[in-house]
Amino acid sequence: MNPENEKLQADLSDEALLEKFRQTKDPNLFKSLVRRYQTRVYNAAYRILGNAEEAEDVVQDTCIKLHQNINKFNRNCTFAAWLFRIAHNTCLDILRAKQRKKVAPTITFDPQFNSDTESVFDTTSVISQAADPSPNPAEALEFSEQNEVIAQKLQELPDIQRTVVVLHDIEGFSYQEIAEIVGTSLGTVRSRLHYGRSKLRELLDAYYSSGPVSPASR
Amino acid sequence: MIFMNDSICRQIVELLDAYRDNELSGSEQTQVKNHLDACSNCRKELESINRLINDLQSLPIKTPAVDIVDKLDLSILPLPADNVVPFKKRPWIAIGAVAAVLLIFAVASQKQNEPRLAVNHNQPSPTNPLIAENHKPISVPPARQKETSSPAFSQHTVIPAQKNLPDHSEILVSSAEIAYLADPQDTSLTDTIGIATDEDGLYEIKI
Repeated sequence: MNPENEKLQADLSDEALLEKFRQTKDPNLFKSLVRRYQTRVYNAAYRILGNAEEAEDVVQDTCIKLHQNINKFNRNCTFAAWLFRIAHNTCLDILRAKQRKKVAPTITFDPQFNSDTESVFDTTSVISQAADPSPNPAEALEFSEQNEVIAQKLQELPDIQRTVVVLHDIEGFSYQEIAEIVGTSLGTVRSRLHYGRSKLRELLDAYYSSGPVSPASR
Repeated sequence: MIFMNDSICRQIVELLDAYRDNELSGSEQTQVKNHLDACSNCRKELESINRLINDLQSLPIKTPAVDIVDKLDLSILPLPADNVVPFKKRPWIAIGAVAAVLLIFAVASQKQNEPRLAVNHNQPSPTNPLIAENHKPISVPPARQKETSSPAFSQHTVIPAQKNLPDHSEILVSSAEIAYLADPQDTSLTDTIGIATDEDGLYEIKI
Protein backbone atom coordinates (compact mmCIF):
# COMPACT_ATOMS: atom_id res chain seq x y z
CA MET A 1 0.00 0.00 0.00
CA ASN A 2 1.37 3.39 -0.89
CA PRO A 3 1.95 5.98 1.89
CA GLU A 4 -0.72 8.28 0.51
CA ASN A 5 -3.38 5.60 0.85
CA GLU A 6 -2.16 4.79 4.34
CA LYS A 7 -2.52 8.41 5.37
CA LEU A 8 -5.97 8.55 3.83
CA GLN A 9 -7.01 5.47 5.79
CA ALA A 10 -5.53 6.82 9.01
CA ASP A 11 -7.74 9.88 8.70
CA LEU A 12 -10.90 7.84 8.31
CA SER A 13 -13.05 7.00 11.31
CA ASP A 14 -13.57 3.34 12.20
CA GLU A 15 -17.07 3.39 10.84
CA ALA A 16 -16.03 5.07 7.58
CA LEU A 17 -13.21 2.58 7.10
CA LEU A 18 -15.59 -0.28 7.77
CA GLU A 19 -18.07 1.10 5.25
CA LYS A 20 -15.31 1.39 2.67
CA PHE A 21 -14.30 -2.22 3.27
CA ARG A 22 -17.90 -3.34 2.89
CA GLN A 23 -18.03 -1.68 -0.50
CA THR A 24 -14.63 -2.61 -1.88
CA LYS A 25 -13.90 -5.88 -0.01
CA ASP A 26 -10.28 -4.78 -0.02
CA PRO A 27 -8.50 -6.96 2.59
CA ASN A 28 -6.00 -4.19 3.32
CA LEU A 29 -8.81 -1.99 4.60
CA PHE A 30 -9.96 -4.74 6.89
CA LYS A 31 -6.46 -5.27 8.20
CA SER A 32 -5.99 -1.54 8.77
CA LEU A 33 -9.22 -1.46 10.75
CA VAL A 34 -8.31 -4.43 12.92
CA ARG A 35 -4.73 -3.30 13.41
CA ARG A 36 -6.05 -0.19 15.14
CA TYR A 37 -7.44 -2.40 17.91
CA GLN A 38 -5.14 -5.38 17.84
CA THR A 39 -3.03 -4.29 20.82
CA ARG A 40 -5.98 -3.09 22.85
CA VAL A 41 -7.89 -6.34 22.35
CA TYR A 42 -4.76 -8.34 23.14
CA ASN A 43 -4.00 -6.31 26.27
CA ALA A 44 -7.57 -6.58 27.58
CA ALA A 45 -7.72 -10.30 26.84
CA TYR A 46 -4.36 -10.81 28.55
CA ARG A 47 -5.52 -8.96 31.67
CA ILE A 48 -8.83 -10.83 31.73
CA LEU A 49 -7.40 -14.29 31.04
CA GLY A 50 -3.90 -13.87 32.49
CA ASN A 51 -2.42 -15.88 29.64
CA ALA A 52 -0.50 -14.70 26.58
CA GLU A 53 -1.30 -17.63 24.29
CA GLU A 54 -5.00 -17.42 25.06
CA ALA A 55 -4.91 -13.67 24.50
CA GLU A 56 -3.40 -14.29 21.04
CA ASP A 57 -6.15 -16.80 20.32
CA VAL A 58 -8.72 -14.20 21.32
CA VAL A 59 -7.29 -11.64 18.88
CA GLN A 60 -7.20 -14.19 16.08
CA ASP A 61 -10.73 -15.49 16.73
CA THR A 62 -12.04 -11.96 17.06
CA CYS A 63 -10.57 -11.07 13.64
CA ILE A 64 -12.20 -14.08 12.04
CA LYS A 65 -15.58 -13.46 13.68
CA LEU A 66 -15.39 -9.79 12.77
CA HIS A 67 -14.68 -10.61 9.14
CA GLN A 68 -17.56 -13.07 9.03
CA ASN A 69 -20.05 -10.73 10.66
CA ILE A 70 -18.90 -7.37 9.40
CA ASN A 71 -22.19 -6.78 7.61
CA LYS A 72 -24.10 -7.19 10.84
CA PHE A 73 -22.59 -4.07 12.37
CA ASN A 74 -25.13 -1.34 12.84
CA ARG A 75 -24.54 2.05 14.33
CA ASN A 76 -26.36 1.36 17.59
CA CYS A 77 -22.97 1.38 19.30
CA THR A 78 -19.43 2.37 18.43
CA PHE A 79 -17.29 0.05 16.34
CA ALA A 80 -14.86 -0.32 19.27
CA ALA A 81 -17.63 -1.46 21.61
CA TRP A 82 -18.90 -3.91 19.00
CA LEU A 83 -15.41 -5.31 18.41
CA PHE A 84 -14.79 -5.66 22.14
CA ARG A 85 -18.12 -7.38 22.51
CA ILE A 86 -16.92 -10.05 20.09
CA ALA A 87 -13.60 -10.27 21.95
CA HIS A 88 -15.37 -10.43 25.32
CA ASN A 89 -17.56 -13.31 24.13
CA THR A 90 -14.45 -15.14 22.96
CA CYS A 91 -12.84 -14.58 26.38
CA LEU A 92 -15.99 -15.94 28.03
CA ASP A 93 -15.77 -19.11 25.95
CA ILE A 94 -12.20 -19.64 27.15
CA LEU A 95 -13.09 -18.90 30.78
CA ARG A 96 -16.00 -21.35 30.63
CA ALA A 97 -13.78 -24.02 29.10
CA LYS A 98 -11.27 -23.43 31.92
CA GLN A 99 -14.02 -23.76 34.51
CA ARG A 100 -15.06 -27.09 33.05
CA LYS A 101 -11.64 -28.65 33.18
CA LYS A 102 -10.58 -27.24 36.51
CA VAL A 103 -8.59 -29.91 38.30
CA ALA A 104 -6.73 -30.14 41.58
CA PRO A 105 -3.55 -28.07 41.50
CA THR A 106 -0.45 -29.98 40.53
CA ILE A 107 3.14 -28.85 40.64
CA THR A 108 5.22 -29.28 37.54
CA PHE A 109 8.91 -28.74 37.22
CA ASP A 110 9.72 -26.85 34.07
CA PRO A 111 13.04 -24.98 33.95
CA GLN A 112 12.16 -23.59 30.51
CA PHE A 113 9.01 -21.98 31.86
CA ASN A 114 8.35 -18.55 30.47
CA SER A 115 6.03 -16.50 32.65
CA ASP A 116 5.04 -14.39 29.68
CA THR A 117 3.45 -17.27 27.85
CA GLU A 118 1.89 -19.09 30.76
CA SER A 119 -1.04 -18.35 32.98
CA VAL A 120 -0.28 -16.49 36.17
CA PHE A 121 -2.96 -18.31 38.08
CA ASP A 122 -3.52 -21.43 36.09
CA THR A 123 -4.67 -24.67 37.65
CA THR A 124 -1.13 -25.91 37.24
CA SER A 125 1.55 -24.20 39.28
CA VAL A 126 4.94 -24.32 37.69
CA ILE A 127 8.23 -24.08 39.52
CA SER A 128 9.93 -21.79 37.08
CA GLN A 129 13.55 -21.14 36.42
CA ALA A 130 14.57 -23.35 39.33
CA ALA A 131 18.19 -23.25 38.26
CA ASP A 132 18.30 -19.45 38.31
CA PRO A 133 15.74 -17.87 40.66
CA SER A 134 16.42 -14.27 39.65
CA PRO A 135 14.17 -12.76 36.95
CA ASN A 136 15.75 -12.19 33.58
CA PRO A 137 16.80 -8.60 32.94
CA ALA A 138 14.14 -7.96 30.33
CA GLU A 139 11.38 -9.04 32.71
CA ALA A 140 12.83 -6.99 35.54
CA LEU A 141 12.86 -3.98 33.27
CA GLU A 142 9.30 -4.50 32.09
CA PHE A 143 7.64 -5.31 35.34
CA SER A 144 8.17 -3.66 38.64
CA GLU A 145 7.22 -5.81 41.59
CA GLN A 146 4.25 -3.57 42.21
CA ASN A 147 2.92 -4.21 38.72
CA GLU A 148 3.36 -7.92 39.17
CA VAL A 149 1.47 -7.89 42.46
CA ILE A 150 -1.36 -5.82 40.98
CA ALA A 151 -1.58 -8.09 37.94
CA GLN A 152 -1.67 -11.15 40.18
CA LYS A 153 -4.31 -9.73 42.52
CA LEU A 154 -6.38 -8.71 39.51
CA GLN A 155 -6.53 -12.38 38.56
CA GLU A 156 -8.02 -13.18 41.97
CA LEU A 157 -11.16 -11.16 41.25
CA PRO A 158 -14.27 -12.98 40.04
CA ASP A 159 -14.31 -13.08 36.21
CA ILE A 160 -17.27 -10.72 35.82
CA GLN A 161 -15.75 -8.08 38.12
CA ARG A 162 -12.28 -8.38 36.59
CA THR A 163 -13.72 -7.92 33.10
CA VAL A 164 -15.46 -4.69 34.06
CA VAL A 165 -12.40 -3.36 35.92
CA VAL A 166 -10.16 -4.12 32.91
CA LEU A 167 -12.58 -2.57 30.42
CA HIS A 168 -13.02 0.59 32.46
CA ASP A 169 -9.80 1.23 34.33
CA ILE A 170 -7.35 -0.17 31.79
CA GLU A 171 -9.12 0.17 28.45
CA GLY A 172 -11.02 3.34 29.32
CA PHE A 173 -14.51 2.40 28.18
CA SER A 174 -17.48 4.28 29.59
CA TYR A 175 -20.15 2.54 31.68
CA GLN A 176 -22.54 2.66 28.73
CA GLU A 177 -20.00 1.07 26.39
CA ILE A 178 -19.19 -1.63 28.95
CA ALA A 179 -22.90 -2.38 29.32
CA GLU A 180 -23.02 -2.91 25.54
CA ILE A 181 -19.86 -5.02 25.49
CA VAL A 182 -20.83 -7.24 28.39
CA GLY A 183 -24.53 -7.25 27.53
CA THR A 184 -25.84 -6.05 30.86
CA SER A 185 -27.44 -2.98 32.42
CA LEU A 186 -25.74 0.23 33.43
CA GLY A 187 -26.57 -0.43 37.08
CA THR A 188 -24.92 -3.85 36.94
CA VAL A 189 -21.78 -2.34 35.44
CA ARG A 190 -21.66 0.27 38.21
CA SER A 191 -22.15 -2.38 40.87
CA ARG A 192 -19.57 -4.80 39.42
CA LEU A 193 -17.02 -2.02 39.14
CA HIS A 194 -17.63 -0.88 42.72
CA TYR A 195 -17.33 -4.38 44.18
CA GLY A 196 -14.43 -5.29 41.92
CA ARG A 197 -12.42 -2.25 42.98
CA SER A 198 -13.33 -2.72 46.65
CA LYS A 199 -12.18 -6.33 46.53
CA LEU A 200 -8.99 -5.41 44.71
CA ARG A 201 -8.21 -2.72 47.27
CA GLU A 202 -8.78 -5.27 50.02
CA LEU A 203 -6.44 -7.72 48.31
CA LEU A 204 -3.80 -5.04 47.86
CA ASP A 205 -4.20 -3.61 51.36
CA ALA A 206 -1.50 -5.80 52.86
CA TYR A 207 0.87 -4.90 50.06
CA TYR A 208 0.15 -1.18 50.30
CA SER A 209 0.45 -1.15 54.11
CA SER A 210 3.83 -2.91 54.05
CA GLY A 211 5.04 -0.54 51.35
CA PRO A 212 6.24 -1.52 47.88
CA VAL A 213 9.41 -3.58 47.77
CA SER A 214 11.95 -2.69 45.17
CA PRO A 215 12.67 -5.36 42.53
CA ALA A 216 16.34 -5.36 43.58
CA SER A 217 15.50 -6.69 47.02
CA ARG A 218 14.14 -9.97 45.65
CA MET B 1 -10.37 0.11 54.48
CA ILE B 2 -12.10 2.65 56.64
CA PHE B 3 -14.61 1.39 59.15
CA MET B 4 -17.80 3.39 58.87
CA ASN B 5 -20.61 3.56 61.34
CA ASP B 6 -22.38 6.37 59.72
CA SER B 7 -25.05 5.08 57.37
CA ILE B 8 -24.70 8.19 55.19
CA CYS B 9 -21.02 7.42 54.72
CA ARG B 10 -21.89 3.87 53.70
CA GLN B 11 -24.30 5.17 51.08
CA ILE B 12 -21.74 7.67 49.82
CA VAL B 13 -18.99 5.04 49.58
CA GLU B 14 -21.30 2.97 47.37
CA LEU B 15 -21.42 5.95 45.01
CA LEU B 16 -17.77 6.96 45.18
CA ASP B 17 -16.60 4.86 42.24
CA ALA B 18 -19.27 6.23 39.94
CA TYR B 19 -18.63 9.74 41.32
CA ARG B 20 -14.94 9.43 40.51
CA ASP B 21 -15.86 8.25 36.99
CA ASN B 22 -18.39 11.07 36.46
CA GLU B 23 -21.10 8.50 35.93
CA LEU B 24 -23.60 9.84 38.45
CA SER B 25 -26.59 11.99 37.72
CA GLY B 26 -26.21 15.72 38.39
CA SER B 27 -28.00 15.66 41.75
CA GLU B 28 -26.11 12.58 42.97
CA GLN B 29 -22.82 14.11 41.91
CA THR B 30 -23.60 17.26 43.94
CA GLN B 31 -24.74 15.22 46.94
CA VAL B 32 -21.47 13.22 47.00
CA LYS B 33 -19.36 16.31 46.48
CA ASN B 34 -21.05 18.11 49.40
CA HIS B 35 -20.51 15.09 51.63
CA LEU B 36 -16.85 14.80 50.64
CA ASP B 37 -16.28 18.42 51.58
CA ALA B 38 -17.33 17.60 55.12
CA CYS B 39 -16.14 13.99 55.61
CA SER B 40 -12.44 13.17 55.77
CA ASN B 41 -13.03 9.40 55.96
CA CYS B 42 -14.87 9.37 52.66
CA ARG B 43 -12.18 11.58 51.13
CA LYS B 44 -9.63 8.94 52.15
CA GLU B 45 -11.76 6.29 50.49
CA LEU B 46 -11.80 8.33 47.32
CA GLU B 47 -8.03 8.74 47.48
CA SER B 48 -7.69 4.98 47.84
CA ILE B 49 -9.87 4.45 44.75
CA ASN B 50 -7.82 6.99 42.81
CA ARG B 51 -4.60 5.27 43.82
CA LEU B 52 -5.87 1.89 42.70
CA ILE B 53 -6.93 3.25 39.33
CA ASN B 54 -3.57 4.95 38.86
CA ASP B 55 -1.87 1.65 39.63
CA LEU B 56 -4.06 -0.23 37.17
CA GLN B 57 -3.40 2.35 34.48
CA SER B 58 0.32 2.12 35.10
CA LEU B 59 0.36 -1.59 34.25
CA PRO B 60 2.47 -2.09 31.13
CA ILE B 61 0.50 -2.51 27.92
CA LYS B 62 0.95 -6.05 26.71
CA THR B 63 1.51 -6.45 22.99
CA PRO B 64 1.33 -9.65 20.96
CA ALA B 65 4.70 -11.15 20.05
CA VAL B 66 3.77 -11.08 16.38
CA ASP B 67 1.44 -9.05 14.22
CA ILE B 68 -1.56 -11.37 14.42
CA VAL B 69 -3.53 -9.48 11.79
CA ASP B 70 -0.63 -9.84 9.35
CA LYS B 71 -0.61 -13.57 9.91
CA LEU B 72 -4.26 -13.83 8.94
CA ASP B 73 -4.86 -15.14 5.45
CA LEU B 74 -8.10 -13.39 4.57
CA SER B 75 -8.39 -15.28 1.30
CA ILE B 76 -9.19 -18.50 3.17
CA LEU B 77 -11.63 -16.85 5.55
CA PRO B 78 -15.32 -17.25 4.78
CA LEU B 79 -16.68 -14.21 3.00
CA PRO B 80 -18.74 -11.75 5.00
CA ALA B 81 -22.24 -13.14 5.22
CA ASP B 82 -23.86 -10.90 2.58
CA ASN B 83 -26.77 -13.12 1.66
CA VAL B 84 -27.66 -14.36 5.06
CA VAL B 85 -31.24 -13.39 5.82
CA PRO B 86 -32.33 -13.83 9.43
CA PHE B 87 -34.65 -16.77 9.98
CA LYS B 88 -37.40 -14.49 11.23
CA LYS B 89 -37.49 -12.73 7.86
CA ARG B 90 -38.31 -16.01 6.09
CA PRO B 91 -41.35 -17.30 8.00
CA TRP B 92 -42.17 -20.04 5.47
CA ILE B 93 -38.84 -21.73 6.11
CA ALA B 94 -39.51 -21.68 9.82
CA ILE B 95 -43.05 -23.03 9.37
CA GLY B 96 -41.80 -25.73 7.02
CA ALA B 97 -39.10 -26.78 9.47
CA VAL B 98 -41.58 -27.02 12.34
CA ALA B 99 -44.00 -29.02 10.18
CA ALA B 100 -41.20 -31.41 9.18
CA VAL B 101 -40.21 -31.97 12.79
CA LEU B 102 -43.82 -32.64 13.80
CA LEU B 103 -44.23 -35.09 10.91
CA ILE B 104 -41.09 -36.99 11.95
CA PHE B 105 -42.39 -37.21 15.52
CA ALA B 106 -45.80 -38.41 14.35
CA VAL B 107 -44.28 -41.15 12.16
CA ALA B 108 -41.85 -42.20 14.89
CA SER B 109 -44.55 -42.46 17.55
CA GLN B 110 -46.81 -44.44 15.18
CA LYS B 111 -43.97 -46.89 14.53
CA GLN B 112 -43.48 -47.35 18.25
CA ASN B 113 -47.14 -48.21 18.81
CA GLU B 114 -47.25 -50.94 16.13
CA PRO B 115 -47.21 -54.52 17.55
CA ARG B 116 -43.84 -56.18 17.08
CA LEU B 117 -44.30 -59.64 15.58
CA ALA B 118 -41.39 -61.88 14.83
CA VAL B 119 -43.40 -64.41 12.87
CA ASN B 120 -45.73 -63.71 10.02
CA HIS B 121 -48.89 -65.77 10.36
CA ASN B 122 -49.31 -66.18 6.65
CA GLN B 123 -45.78 -67.37 5.91
CA PRO B 124 -44.58 -70.87 6.72
CA SER B 125 -41.61 -71.01 9.07
CA PRO B 126 -39.02 -73.63 8.21
CA THR B 127 -37.43 -73.47 11.66
CA ASN B 128 -40.50 -73.88 13.74
CA PRO B 129 -42.54 -77.01 13.38
CA LEU B 130 -45.38 -75.45 15.32
CA ILE B 131 -46.06 -72.96 12.61
CA ALA B 132 -46.25 -75.25 9.72
CA GLU B 133 -47.66 -74.68 6.33
CA ASN B 134 -51.43 -74.45 6.24
CA HIS B 135 -51.44 -73.97 9.95
CA LYS B 136 -54.44 -72.01 11.14
CA PRO B 137 -53.84 -70.42 14.51
CA ILE B 138 -56.79 -70.09 16.80
CA SER B 139 -57.93 -66.54 17.04
CA VAL B 140 -58.51 -65.42 20.60
CA PRO B 141 -59.44 -61.89 21.69
CA PRO B 142 -56.64 -60.34 23.76
CA ALA B 143 -58.92 -59.87 26.77
CA ARG B 144 -59.33 -63.65 27.12
CA GLN B 145 -55.70 -64.45 26.58
CA LYS B 146 -54.75 -65.10 30.21
CA GLU B 147 -57.80 -67.27 30.83
CA THR B 148 -57.15 -69.37 27.73
CA SER B 149 -53.48 -69.95 28.34
CA SER B 150 -53.53 -70.64 32.07
CA PRO B 151 -54.34 -74.38 31.87
CA ALA B 152 -51.23 -74.93 29.80
CA PHE B 153 -48.96 -73.47 32.47
CA SER B 154 -49.94 -76.08 34.99
CA GLN B 155 -48.79 -78.87 32.69
CA HIS B 156 -45.36 -77.55 31.76
CA THR B 157 -42.19 -76.55 33.55
CA VAL B 158 -41.88 -72.83 33.21
CA ILE B 159 -38.39 -71.40 32.81
CA PRO B 160 -37.50 -67.72 32.56
CA ALA B 161 -37.24 -66.49 29.01
CA GLN B 162 -33.82 -65.23 27.98
CA LYS B 163 -33.26 -62.26 25.77
CA ASN B 164 -31.27 -62.09 22.54
CA LEU B 165 -30.63 -65.76 22.13
CA PRO B 166 -29.68 -66.56 18.55
CA ASP B 167 -31.42 -69.91 18.86
CA HIS B 168 -34.08 -70.18 16.14
CA SER B 169 -36.29 -72.17 18.45
CA GLU B 170 -36.92 -69.00 20.43
CA ILE B 171 -39.57 -66.94 18.77
CA LEU B 172 -41.86 -64.10 19.47
CA VAL B 173 -45.46 -64.89 18.83
CA SER B 174 -48.74 -63.13 19.18
CA SER B 175 -51.65 -64.11 21.36
CA ALA B 176 -52.93 -66.37 18.57
CA GLU B 177 -49.92 -68.71 18.78
CA ILE B 178 -50.08 -68.71 22.56
CA ALA B 179 -53.58 -70.02 22.39
CA TYR B 180 -52.46 -72.64 19.89
CA LEU B 181 -49.51 -73.78 22.01
CA ALA B 182 -51.55 -73.81 25.13
CA ASP B 183 -53.99 -76.26 23.70
CA PRO B 184 -53.94 -79.09 26.31
CA GLN B 185 -54.79 -81.61 23.59
CA ASP B 186 -51.56 -80.97 21.78
CA THR B 187 -48.59 -81.28 24.15
CA SER B 188 -46.49 -83.63 22.06
CA LEU B 189 -44.28 -81.02 20.54
CA THR B 190 -43.41 -78.97 23.60
CA ASP B 191 -41.48 -79.87 26.69
CA THR B 192 -40.94 -76.61 28.46
CA ILE B 193 -42.40 -73.27 27.82
CA GLY B 194 -41.11 -70.03 29.25
CA ILE B 195 -43.36 -67.04 29.03
CA ALA B 196 -42.58 -63.45 29.71
CA THR B 197 -44.02 -60.16 28.73
CA ASP B 198 -42.08 -57.27 27.34
CA GLU B 199 -42.98 -53.59 27.49
CA ASP B 200 -45.28 -53.87 24.49
CA GLY B 201 -47.30 -56.67 26.09
CA LEU B 202 -46.02 -59.30 23.66
CA TYR B 203 -45.34 -62.83 24.75
CA GLU B 204 -42.10 -64.70 24.37
CA ILE B 205 -42.18 -68.43 24.48
CA LYS B 206 -39.21 -70.74 24.66
CA ILE B 207 -39.74 -74.20 23.38
